[in-house]
Amino acid sequence: MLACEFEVISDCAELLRRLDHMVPRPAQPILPGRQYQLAACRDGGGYRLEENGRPIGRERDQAAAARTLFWRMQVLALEAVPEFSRIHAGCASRNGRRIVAAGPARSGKSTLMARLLFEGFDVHCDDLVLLRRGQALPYPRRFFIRPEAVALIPQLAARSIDPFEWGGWDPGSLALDPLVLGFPWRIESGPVDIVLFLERDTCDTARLEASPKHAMAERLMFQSTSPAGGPGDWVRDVCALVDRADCYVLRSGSLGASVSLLKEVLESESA
Amino acid sequence: MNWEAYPRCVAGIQVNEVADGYVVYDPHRERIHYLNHTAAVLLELCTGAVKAGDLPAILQTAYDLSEVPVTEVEACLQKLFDEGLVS
Repeated sequence: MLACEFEVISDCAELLRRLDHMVPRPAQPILPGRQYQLAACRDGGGYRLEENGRPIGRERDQAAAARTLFWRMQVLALEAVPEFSRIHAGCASRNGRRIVAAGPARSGKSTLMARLLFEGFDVHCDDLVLLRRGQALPYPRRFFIRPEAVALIPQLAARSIDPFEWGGWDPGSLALDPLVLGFPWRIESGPVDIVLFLERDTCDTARLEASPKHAMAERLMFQSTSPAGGPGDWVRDVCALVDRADCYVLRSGSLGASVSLLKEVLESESA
Repeated sequence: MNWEAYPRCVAGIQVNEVADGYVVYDPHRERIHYLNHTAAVLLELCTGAVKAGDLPAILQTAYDLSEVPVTEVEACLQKLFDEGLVS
């Protein structure tokens, strides 16, 4: 996971299988510079958790232990890249043009990104993008799809799902691995061509509205967090992102209409 | 509004230019300001060498306006004063 390499050991095969359905395995050109060994071993009625031989906690069952280890991996992976601003967004590309789609929780980022997988896009992440000096680095995490959103993606709904895939961070959510679905999954830093801000709409269609860049910067600041360098670097990162990209607000009440609009705008900009 | 003053952009603020405006970080007040193009031009003109009373006419010329935007400049300049971006 980015700059971190994890080895997980356990005396519980079921726990490892659960974790196996949570961890991401995209191709990434970044070489790990930190190694961690995480362990979950049966102890009394629960599981004793360790990091590099140090105790880090206990959990009562294998599901909770797997989630805690997975959460610890996220924390360590992000701690290893403190110089990046973090923006709550998905990232996808098509024909060499990269889109970052930001928005508040439950604005439909993960659902849109999962649907784009089946629409010919390379989808890199669904929830978190790291920013630095005008470059966007998708954060490697499986796409977490809520049960009610699965029905919005017919190709996904039609597929049989391994019960262990329902192991997303939110209880009952699907932890989707593009590789398992037969799609490429690659994490790579790169410039962004289009920035979208997703807003839910009650209509049954979708509208794409051009946004001034300074207004998009304001929206994105509310969906992002500061790097270790402080607010000055944070503002600089967000401005560098929007300044080179075309910025749109996508007001959507229809996933299909949103996908059509995105394809249209990408084709018109490529022409 | 003191039209005889010579407003000056305060020192130490971080100005980030985007194509249609500025995003300004003020480390003294720990605030971020999002300026449209007109406000950004006005901030640029606050060098301490331009009299406030001359700013409406300068903007009228810059944007080729039919009328002198006195009210608009006053409101924008007052906002820049209030937010501590000019003194």
